[in-house]
Amino acid sequence: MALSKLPNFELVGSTIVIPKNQEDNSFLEGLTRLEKEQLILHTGIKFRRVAPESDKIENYFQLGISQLLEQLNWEPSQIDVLICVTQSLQTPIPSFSCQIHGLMNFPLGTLCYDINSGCSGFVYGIHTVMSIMNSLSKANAKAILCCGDFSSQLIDKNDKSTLPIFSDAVSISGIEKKNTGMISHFNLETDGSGRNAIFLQDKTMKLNGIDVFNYSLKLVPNHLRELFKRAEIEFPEKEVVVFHQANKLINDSLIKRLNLDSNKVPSTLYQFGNTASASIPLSLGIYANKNSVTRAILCGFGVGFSLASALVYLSSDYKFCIIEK
Amino acid sequence: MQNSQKVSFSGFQALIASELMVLEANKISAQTQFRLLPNWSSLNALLLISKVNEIYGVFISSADLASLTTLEDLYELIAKNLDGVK
Repeated sequence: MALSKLPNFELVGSTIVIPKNQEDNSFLEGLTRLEKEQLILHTGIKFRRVAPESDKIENYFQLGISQLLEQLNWEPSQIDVLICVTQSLQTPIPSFSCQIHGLMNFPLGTLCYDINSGCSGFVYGIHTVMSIMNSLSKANAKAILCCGDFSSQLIDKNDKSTLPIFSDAVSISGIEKKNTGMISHFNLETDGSGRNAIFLQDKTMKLNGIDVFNYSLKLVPNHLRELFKRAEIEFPEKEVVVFHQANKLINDSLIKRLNLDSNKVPSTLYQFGNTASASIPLSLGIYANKNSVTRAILCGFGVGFSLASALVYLSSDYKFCIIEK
Repeated sequence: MQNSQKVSFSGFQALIASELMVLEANKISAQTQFRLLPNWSSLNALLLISKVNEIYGVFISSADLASLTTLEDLYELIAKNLDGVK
């Protein structure tokens, strides 16, 4: 396992941008009423957001960053690090982070690059951002982490096992170096033998539900236990545990396997589906708007097969909102 | 493994009947080809694999499942994994 710890960072806020267009799994074509009821019951997913084909993901990131900067009272000139985590159809040239840097008029001194990652991408992204900021000489560095995909554009509309799961969303999060003395902990792992559980073929995403289930249940419990050990959390009674929103069957099985209190494990599946690397900031933000959260356990797992968990700190004035485009 | 209890065929038969919503459990036997059962679907296959994992602590991969035909095949694979033979 790759265990890591980084001092003096806080998540200061997140903005989620989702398409206005919502689809309902109750109205899926080609399935009987019973099949649709079973699907919604076991995946936990009723509604999905689907971006119109003409929409560009970079415009969603741009809108979310503007909103976040306003919420945090940050100026574009203050941004030291911009990292984008996406798995769009093909790597754009130039990278998304350079495109967004241009759209936002960020300063010359902003470090930019993209990370190709999905379900575990938010946690990998936080680790990357914090590691970079830790190496910067600036005391109060500020970073923006963009995560998310238009998964609907990668799905064969006739694939009745993959179509009902994925939903489009992007998240934009602010991370700041602050002299709090608090230490964030990470566990970052990979099992490439699971690379065929979710993959792209002929520009279409293929998902093998049984293998994703097996890899998740085989790997995530011990992966998280290692993080708890490292962060000296005997059992997460106080902390919220935010899982990647895979599907209800997997997430409920993990809760059971780890004996977690399901009230402290938020789910946003019913309303928003599986939003890839945006699912953790989305679920954390909705929870943090209703509950006081000083620190949170995050756990992303999936495409790769990639695993990343973290104990991170939220600022006392953590800001969160969802906007529709 | 979460549960090391031995798997009896009648217990396994009852599990299949409930997971695949076979109303008359006595209609399925060791020789039943599970893919021909009326409610067999990718979702029900996943539910079955998750239930097998929950009850017996055994992981059945999609490749394993693809190589099997009858309920007896599946039952034997579970029993073999429980014994740690594999």
